[in-house]
Parts: sequence; structure tokens; C-alpha cells
Amino acid sequence: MKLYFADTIFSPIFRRYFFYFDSYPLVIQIAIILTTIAITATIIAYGSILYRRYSGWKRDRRLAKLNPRIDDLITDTVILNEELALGTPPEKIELDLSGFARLKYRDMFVRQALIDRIMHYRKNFVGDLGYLLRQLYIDLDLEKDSVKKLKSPQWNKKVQGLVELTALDMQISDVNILPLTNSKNRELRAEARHAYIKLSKNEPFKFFDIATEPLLMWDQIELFKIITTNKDIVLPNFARWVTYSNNKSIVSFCLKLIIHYNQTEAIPAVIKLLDNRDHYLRADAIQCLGKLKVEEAEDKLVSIYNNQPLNCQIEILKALGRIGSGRHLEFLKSEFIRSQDFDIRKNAARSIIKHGALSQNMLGDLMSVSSEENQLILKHCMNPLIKY
Amino acid sequence: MLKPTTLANPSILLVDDDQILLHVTKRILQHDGYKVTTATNGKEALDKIRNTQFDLVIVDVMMPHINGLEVLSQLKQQQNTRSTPVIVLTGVSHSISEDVLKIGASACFKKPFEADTLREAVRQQLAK
Repeated sequence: MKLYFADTIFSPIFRRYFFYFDSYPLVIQIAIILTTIAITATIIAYGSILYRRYSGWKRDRRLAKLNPRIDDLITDTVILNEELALGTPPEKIELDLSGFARLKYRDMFVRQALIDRIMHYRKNFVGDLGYLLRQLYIDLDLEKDSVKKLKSPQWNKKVQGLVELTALDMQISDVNILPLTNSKNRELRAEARHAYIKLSKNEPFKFFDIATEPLLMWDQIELFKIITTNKDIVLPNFARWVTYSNNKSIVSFCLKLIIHYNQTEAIPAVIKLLDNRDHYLRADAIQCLGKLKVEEAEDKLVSIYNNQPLNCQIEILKALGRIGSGRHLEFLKSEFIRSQDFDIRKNAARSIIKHGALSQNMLGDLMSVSSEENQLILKHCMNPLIKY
Repeated sequence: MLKPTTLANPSILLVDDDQILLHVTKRILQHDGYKVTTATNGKEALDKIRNTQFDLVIVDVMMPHINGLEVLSQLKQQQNTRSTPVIVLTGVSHSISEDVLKIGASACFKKPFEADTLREAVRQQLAK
């Protein structure tokens, strides 16, 4: 069977340069076609790389000329502002924008360069200068550019807008930001949540109510850092989400915040969580009760112990050690002697030791009657250099 | 031989790898009447200190090659620069400020800082 690739795929122009194409064996025809495709793709790829590099070079060259002018203008208008030096309150100062008009700041490229520069300055200066830099951003209408980015179909533009508005401490309406806190895109979702906590003055945790996407571990670390380092934040009772949220990661994160802020008023909600069907959440709740040293939860923890999976049992043993009331030392001792599981024995031993003076006699007894392996565990746990 | 300076026109060496901050801080200090020399890394700073005597050094901690802490400790080890006051700027946590003061820095500021606070610290150090 003779195939006429050239007739079906290529135009007669192609055939002009390959007179005998149709007479070549099929393998050669395929090879010629693939080679042609490969060469064309390579040329396009190199072309686009060259074009991007050239654009980047042009952009850098333009920025290299523009940035020193922006720096001088910002320095003269804001940093060395004469009225500020004379002691005028920054909120009463009207910035002279005539220099910026000469910069043709209506040009999008110039506006973006201005935003980037003002953001950088604001990262380094606080107080009156920080206020004036923000004022400059508002006076130049740069805020509109950032808000416009929030409505862009591209997620990276939205992130850029959020970063700009957060850095300049601008308010974002809930209508614009709340949907982004639940975006399918991980980066956008994380940035929107960070921005919401930083910028929302009254209810920074409102997005917890609508969050259906999980808070990943890295997001939790980032959010925890933002929440715990932001002095002006209004702290709600996190028991609200422990009780009502269907998002397990939100509940787990709230338990961590309850521990950090020692929210004793949330304890009843945390105790209720011990009946939750999810054993990871139960483990988190047990950890929370232990860290908050909730003595009234001890009996419940011991009573549910035998029905729990291993991770929850270990958390219960740890919690009893943290609470350290001494009422359940016999339970810890029996778990240490009876259990076949190494982790159970290790955690029971640690918790007994954590009781300090209350468990001194018990430890002496255990050291004398325990097996060689259990004695090693006890000695290991007694080492003060090994942290619990 | 070190080039001496007069206290009527105090000279300051400003060391930071952040070009923007370097430019702005330089302008602020120049505006206040100081003679400002800049360096963008620790090595360049130490070279300049070897050739010129400065009345004050302002140095950032996080820099490539030789960081601000090394610059500070070298300044405090050398006979001719031991008494030069050094103000340290840092973008990292407050815990570093105690270490910096122990090594011999006169003051330590965490970024972001207030320009007036830095101005005041410079004035105080030069008045000593």
C-alpha cells in the first residue's frame, strides 16, 4: 500500500523541494516529516526564548533608568519631606506630586515600577515615613491598579494584587477577598487567607466560616506566624469553629490556637470533640487538653483509652503526664508493665517521670521489678537531656 | 596611613547589600550634614575601613561573603577601629540584638525602623 503523506499533510510547496518524496520508503517519509517538525519546533522555541530574553533585557534597561529617578522622587517627596521635618503630623501633609507627573506615571510600566519601589521602601521604614509612603501610593491612584489585579483571570496577577495591598496595609472589601480565600488554587488561597487575617480589623477569621478547602500544614505554619506576630489582631473564641466547622483542618488549626492563647473558655468544646468520629481530630483534642492541663478531663481520657487507636492512646498517655495530677499513676504503671507496644511503654514511662516527686516511690519499685528492656526505657526517659 | 576626618563634618560608613535602603539612608544622612561613604558587602567595607578612618559605621547583618557580625567583630579586634561606634541593622529576630551588643555594637535596630530613630542614634553616637 502506497501512502501519500505529502498530499495529505504538506502543500505542493513542500514537494517542490522533495521531488521524490512519494517514491521514498514509508520509514524515510516519516523520518523527513518528524525531522521537519522537530526543526520547526526548535526554531520556534529558540525564537520565543530570544524574544523573552530581549524583552527582559529591554525591561531591565528601562527599569535601570527609571528606578534611580523614582528613588530620588520618593526620597525628596517623602523621606526628606520638609513639613515632616518641621513636625507637621503626617496626616496633615499634602504630598507634592509634580515630580511624578513628569515621570509619566500614567504609563502602566512606570506605575508598576512605582508600586514595587514604594512596597520596598515600606518594608524598611515604619512610623511617619511608612504612613507617607502609603499616602503616596493612594495619591498616585496606584491602589486602583492593585484592586484591578484582584479581578484578573490570571491567578498570579491576583496574588500580586493581594501582596501589594497587604504590603501597603490597604483595606480590601470582603466581596473581593472572601471568594479568593476558598480558591481551588493553593497559592492564591494561601495568599488571600494571609491577606484577610492581616487586613481585616474586626473579624480576621471570618473566612474560617466558609473555608471548604483544607488548610495545608505549610499554610497553618504561615497563618500561625501571622496571627501570633500581629499585635492588633482581634482574637475570637476558637471554640466556635471547633464546635461548628465541618473542615477538619480548620478544627485542627483552631485547637493549636486554643493551646497557644491558652483559651480556657474553649475547654468544653474541646472535651466534646473527644466523641468525634475522626481519630486524628480526637488525637488533636487530647493533645490540646493535655497542654492546657485540664484536670477535669483526666477521668474521661482514661475511660475512653481502651477504645482508641494507637495514636490517640499515645496522646492520652502524654496528656496524663502533662496534667500530672497523680490520680492516674496506677493506670500509667499498668500500661507500662502490661503493654507489648514499645511506644505505649515509652510514653507511659515518660508520663510517670513527669509527675516528679509524686512518682518517686513508684519509679524505684519499677526499676527493681521491671524487665531489662523496661529498665532501659525508664533510664532513657529519666535522661534530662532528652526533651519531652 | 588612615585618612583622618574632622568632627565638624563627621564621616559615616554605611554598609548594606540592599541598594534601595543604601541609597535612601545615604540621602537621609547626607541631608543631616554627614559625609557618607557606602559599601555593599562586608569585604568592601573592611577594605574601606583599612584606608579611611570613619567616625561611625552603620552595618547590616545579612550580607553576602562577609556578614555584618564579622565586620563588627573585626572592627572591635583592631586597635585603631576599636573605639569607632557601630550601629547594626538587622532584618532578623530581636534575639540577635543581644549578641550584637555583646560583641560591641553601640546600638541595634530591627528593620523596618523609623528614620528618626536612626537619625537620633547617629546623633547620639557622634556626640559621645
